Amino acid sequence: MKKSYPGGVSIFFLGAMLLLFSLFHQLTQEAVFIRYKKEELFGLLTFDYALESAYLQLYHGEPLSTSYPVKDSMKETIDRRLSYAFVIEDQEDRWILFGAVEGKKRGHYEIKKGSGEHIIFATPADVHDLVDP
Amino acid sequence: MTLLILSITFRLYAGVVKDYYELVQFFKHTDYAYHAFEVLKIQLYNHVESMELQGNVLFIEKSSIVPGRTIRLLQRDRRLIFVFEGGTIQEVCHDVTKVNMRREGQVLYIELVFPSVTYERGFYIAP
Repeated sequence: MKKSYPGGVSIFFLGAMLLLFSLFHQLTQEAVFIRYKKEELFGLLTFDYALESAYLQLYHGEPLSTSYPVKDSMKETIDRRLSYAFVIEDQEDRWILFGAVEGKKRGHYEIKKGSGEHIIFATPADVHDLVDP
Repeated sequence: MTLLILSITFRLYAGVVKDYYELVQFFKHTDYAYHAFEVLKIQLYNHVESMELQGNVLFIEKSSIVPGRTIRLLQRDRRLIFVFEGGTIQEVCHDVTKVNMRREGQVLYIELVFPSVTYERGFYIAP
């Protein structure tokens, strides 16, 4: 290797430093991405289970407003990353329950209205609570 | 200068390793929980005649065509297990620190508390 002149910079070490910094940059980027993905995965799975619980409660006649399916600790974690809502639609022959995450529809449940079935539905006030939790 | 670069590199490397370890723990426990809930779903929604929750133990009574009729679901040490008639054990989930079960009307909530993460899912309970 050619010796650098006094006052100059060694090309070799400059390249080495550049490589090192690009490596650091890469590592940092990956760490951020993976952290985001982790929060998202946890939030979506919790959301799916919560929506299922809401459906079960609704189907078996539990009032939704008294026992909110998402726990406070989980709610905080979801809220940090994802905006979400439970939506209930009242149609002629059925109730439709679906979730929304980041403005996209996720999960879909239908409950048929029947004379013999034991469905007690939440009042409009409860629905309002659910749509904007 | 060399010392500085070395110390920065080491600090960064330690941080990356720590993150990696936490992430592996999280994914492992998420996978355990997901699998456990699926196994529970199969067992709780098939041939069930009656279920009863006593404390933190779930007693399941199945129909007569099933070989092990009475089944208990409970936590032992850091495992969640099914105990069948005659003492046969099926492990549903391990590495779980606490299992909380509660019943609200017809819905049974099972909460699995892992060191890194907590999940909860509701199941329909046969009357």
